[in-house]
Amino acid sequence: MILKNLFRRKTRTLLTVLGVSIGVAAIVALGAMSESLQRGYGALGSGSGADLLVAQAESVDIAFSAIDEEIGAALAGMSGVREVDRMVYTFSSTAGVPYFIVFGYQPDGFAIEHFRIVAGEGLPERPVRRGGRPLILGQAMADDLDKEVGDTLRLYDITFRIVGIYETGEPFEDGAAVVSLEDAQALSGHPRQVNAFLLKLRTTDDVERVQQRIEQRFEDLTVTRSSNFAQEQEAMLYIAAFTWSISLIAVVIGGVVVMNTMLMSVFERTNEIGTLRALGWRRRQILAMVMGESILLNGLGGVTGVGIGIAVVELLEGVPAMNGLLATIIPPALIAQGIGVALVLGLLGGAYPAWRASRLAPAEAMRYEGSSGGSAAQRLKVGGTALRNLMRQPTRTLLTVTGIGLAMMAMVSIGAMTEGMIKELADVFGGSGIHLIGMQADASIDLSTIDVRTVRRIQDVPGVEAAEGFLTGYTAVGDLPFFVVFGYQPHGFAIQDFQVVEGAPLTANRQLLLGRVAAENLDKEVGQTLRIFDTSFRIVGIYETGIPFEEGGGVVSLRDAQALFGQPHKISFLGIRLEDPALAEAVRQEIERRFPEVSVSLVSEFAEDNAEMQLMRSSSWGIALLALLVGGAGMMNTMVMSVFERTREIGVLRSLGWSKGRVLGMILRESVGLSLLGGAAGIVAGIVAIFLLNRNPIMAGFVESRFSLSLFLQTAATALVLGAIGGMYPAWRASRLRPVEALRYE
Amino acid sequence: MEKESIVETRDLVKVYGDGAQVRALDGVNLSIARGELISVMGPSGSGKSTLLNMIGALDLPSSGQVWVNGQDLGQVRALDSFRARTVGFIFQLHNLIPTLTARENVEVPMMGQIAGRGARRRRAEELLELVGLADRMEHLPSQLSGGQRQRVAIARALANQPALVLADEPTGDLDSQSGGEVLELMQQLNQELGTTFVVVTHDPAVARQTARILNMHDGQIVHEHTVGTPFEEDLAAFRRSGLGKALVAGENPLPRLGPNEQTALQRLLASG
Repeated sequence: MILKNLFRRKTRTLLTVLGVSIGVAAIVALGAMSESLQRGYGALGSGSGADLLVAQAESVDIAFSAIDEEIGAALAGMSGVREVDRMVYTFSSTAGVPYFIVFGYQPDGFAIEHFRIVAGEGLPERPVRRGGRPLILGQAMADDLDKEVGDTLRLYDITFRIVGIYETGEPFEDGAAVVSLEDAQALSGHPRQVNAFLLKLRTTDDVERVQQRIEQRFEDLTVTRSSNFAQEQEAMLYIAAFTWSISLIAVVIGGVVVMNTMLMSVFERTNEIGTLRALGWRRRQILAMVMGESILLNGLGGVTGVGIGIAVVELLEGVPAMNGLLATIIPPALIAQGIGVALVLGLLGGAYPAWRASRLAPAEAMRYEGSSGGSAAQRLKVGGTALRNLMRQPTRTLLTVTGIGLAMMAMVSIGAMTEGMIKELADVFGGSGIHLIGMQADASIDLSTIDVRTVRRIQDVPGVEAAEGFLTGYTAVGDLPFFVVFGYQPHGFAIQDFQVVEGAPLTANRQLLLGRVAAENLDKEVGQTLRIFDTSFRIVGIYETGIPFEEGGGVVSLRDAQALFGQPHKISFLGIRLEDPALAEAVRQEIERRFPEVSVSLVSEFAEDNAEMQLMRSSSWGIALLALLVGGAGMMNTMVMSVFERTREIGVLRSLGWSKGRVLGMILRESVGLSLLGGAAGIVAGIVAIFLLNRNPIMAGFVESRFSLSLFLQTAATALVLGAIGGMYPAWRASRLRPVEALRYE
Repeated sequence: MEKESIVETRDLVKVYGDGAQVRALDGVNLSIARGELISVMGPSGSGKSTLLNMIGALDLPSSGQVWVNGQDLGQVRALDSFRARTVGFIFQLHNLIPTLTARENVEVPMMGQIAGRGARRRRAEELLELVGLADRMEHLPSQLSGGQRQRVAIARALANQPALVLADEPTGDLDSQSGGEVLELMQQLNQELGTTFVVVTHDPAVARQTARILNMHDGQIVHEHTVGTPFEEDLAAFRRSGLGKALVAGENPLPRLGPNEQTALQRLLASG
C-alpha cells in the first residue's frame, strides 16, 4: 500500500528522490574526499613503519611544519630512540596538475622502504645529476601523466628524471612523487629543513616516555604516535568541518523538499484518510503509513544518492589534478552514513505531515474538498494572480521558499566570503604605492618563496624604481588558530601601509606591531610581550589598516620573520614601485622574461589572477550549484503539484479562449515569483548569517565578508533562472493539457 | 432558410477509444439559426456534451464538418482565439477561478483579446450589472451563492460579445428556484442581445423554456420539437422521420432503446 501510494504521483516521487539523492551524493563524494585525505595523512604517519612522528608545534598542517635538520642528530641521541628518518612534504606543480604532492625522503632511510618499486629502480643513494635529478613516481600519477621510467618531469624550474615507478596502495602516495631530501628541500624553498622526523623506538612500551621527553626538551616540537597523526592534524578538522557544513546545507534543503512532498500527499488524501479512520484505522496506523512512505521515499533517495556519489568519485578520479585526493575505495561506513542521513531525513521530514494526518477528525476529513484558497486569498487584496495562486497552499509555498531561500543563503554567504577575501587580498597589496606584485611562479600563495638575491636583481630592471620583499607566514598564537605574521623591512616603503595608531613604528628586531583585532582578541597592549613559536616579541605599537586579515595578525622585521619560519634569505612576495606606472605592463613582461621563476601581476589584478582565489570562487559556485540543484528539484515538484491540482481550472481557461502560450506564461510567472521570493529570503538570511559570522572573533580576524551589488544581482539572476527552469516543465505540461480532458479531470 | 444559420453540422461523427470504440456522435446533421434559444436533451451518454464540445471547438470530430458563424472549424488555425471571440461557455459546475473576484473572473476571457486593464474592467462591470450582480463585484466565488456564481459564469461567457453561448447543464447544480432564475436570465439576454444560446440539459422543465428542443439518443438526434407546435404536427413529423418509419415497421434501429421504451414509442406512433 505504501509503495502504491508513492507511485500515484510518479513525477513528484521522482523529483523528491532526486532532491534527496543530490544531498546524499554530496555527502558521499565529499566524505570520500576527506576520508582519503585522512587516510593519506594516516599513511604518512604509519605507512613508514615509524612509531613516533615529530613535527613543528602550532603549525596548522604538516605542510607548513619546518624543523631544522640538525635537531635530527639530537633526537637520535635520546635514549629509547633506535632510528631517526627525515621527511619533506611539499607541493609543486607541473603541466595539468596545479597541486603536485612531492615527498622527500633519505634514499637510505627506513621510511622510503614502503614505496614498493614496480618498474625501474629506487632512488640512488648518491646524487646523480645526469639527465635530471632522480625521481620515483606513483603508479596512479604515472598513468595519468602517461609517463614511463626514463621520461623527464619538470617541477617548477627543475628537471627530474623518472628512475622508477612505485606503488603503496595509498591513493595519496600513489598520486605523488618521491625525490631525495635535498631535492625536495630545493623545491619547497626550505633548505636544511624538514617537515617531520620519523622515529623508530627500541621498544614500543617506551612510546609515552620518549614523547614526553622530546616535548620537554624541544618546546616548539610536537610528538604524535604515528597512528594518531591524521586525527591530530588541525587542517583535517577544517576539511571535515567544511565537508559537513556543505552536506548539512544539502541535507536541510533536502529535508524541506521531503516535508513538502509528504505534506502535499497528506493534503491530497484528506478524504481518503478520513475514510480509513471511519473504517476503524487507529491514529497510530495512519501515522505509521505516512512515516513508512516518507522513509521509503528517502531510502530510495539515499540509495540513488550513494550511486550518484560513487559515480562522481569515479569520474573525478580520472582527472590528474584530483589524484591523491580521492580514494578508489569508498568505505562502507560512508555509504551507511549517506543512507542513514537519508533515513533520518525521512523521519524528520515525515514526522510533521504524519502527525497532521493522524490528527484529522474523520468526519471533517471526509467532507474535505481540497483547498479552495478562499481565506488566504481573501486577505491578499494586493498582488497579481501569480501571488494569489501561490497563496492557495501557503504551507507548500512557505516550504518551497524556505528550500530555495536556504540555497540562496548558502550562495550569498559563501559568495560574500569569497568576495571579502579577494577584496582583502587586493587591499593588502593595494596600498603603499606598489605597482606590481611578484610571487613564485606556479606556486600557491601559502607556499610562495623567492630568493632575496632575485629581489636585488629585479631592482636593476629598467623602469623599476624600487623592489622590496616581504615574508608572510601563519601560525597559531594563544587562542587564535590563524595568526598571520608579516615580515617587512622596518624602514621600507611597503610597511607604510600599516598605520600605527598607538605606540611607535618598528625600528629593530624582536619588536612587534600588533593588529588592532589581534590585540583585542589576545588582550594585549603596547609594552607587553607576545610569544610566537619560541621567540618573545615586545609589542611596540598597534596598527590599523581597515583590512581584518591584516589587523588579525602582526608585523615583525623581515629578518625575524625569516628566522621564525626557517627561511633565511627568502621572501614570499615582492612589491615593486615603478618610475612610470603607465609602463606597468611592459615592465611586468620584462621581469617575467628575465626571471621565469617569478610571476608578476599588476597590483589591481593580483587578487583576481590568483589561482587560489579562482579556486575559491569556483568552489563557492560549486556549492551554490549543489544547493540550486536540490532547490530546483523542490521547486519543480511544487509547480508540478500546483498544475495537477488546477487541471480543471486550466481546462476552463483554455475553453474560455486562453492560448497555450498564455497558460505557459501564467505557470512560469508563478514559478519565477516563487523562486524570487526564495531568493529575497535567501539574501536576507545570508546577510544575517554573515553578520553573525562577522561577530565571531576568529572569523572576524580572518576575513570580513563583503556584499556587493553584483553578488545580489547574481543571486537574483540565479533565482530567476531557477524559477524559469524549474517552472518550464510544469508550464509546458499545463499548456499541453487538452481542454476537454482537463475539464473532465477530477 | 428563413434565418441565417449560425451553426451547421454535416455527418458529424466522434469516436472515442482505440480498442472498444464508442461512437459518441453518429452522423449528426444540425442547423441552428442566429438568435435561437435551443436546448439539447437526452440521457447521459447520449452525446449531447460531445456535440457541444464540437460546436465550441474544444474537441475535433473524427469525421464530418462543423460550421460556426460561417467558419469551417476544420479550417480554423487559431482555435484559442476562435473560442475567445465567437463562443462563450457556461459549465454545470460554475468553474470560476477561486482566487479571483467576480469581476476578475469575468475579465479572464478578455485577457489577450481586449487591451488595457481599464477597458476590461469597465466591460466586466457592465456585464455584472447586466446579470444583476452590481453589488457583488469584488466578492470571491466562495462568498457567493450557487445562483450568483452561475450568473458570474454567464457574464464571463458574454465577455467578448460572442455570437453563440454554449451552456452545459447550467442549472444542474442549482435548486429549482435559482435554476429558474438563471434560465430566465438567459432568455432575457437572448431577447435583448440577440445572442444564440445552446443549452444542454436532461431536465424537461428547463428544455420547455427554450424555443426548440433536440432529443439525442446514442449519438444521434432522434427527435426535434419546436415549442408551440401542436402535438399532432409533431407526431406526424416523427412518423416521417427515419426512426419513426423503422419503429412503425417493427424494427429497433437504436441498440440502447429498451423493449419497454420501444413498445411505448410504437404505441404512440400508432395512436392518433
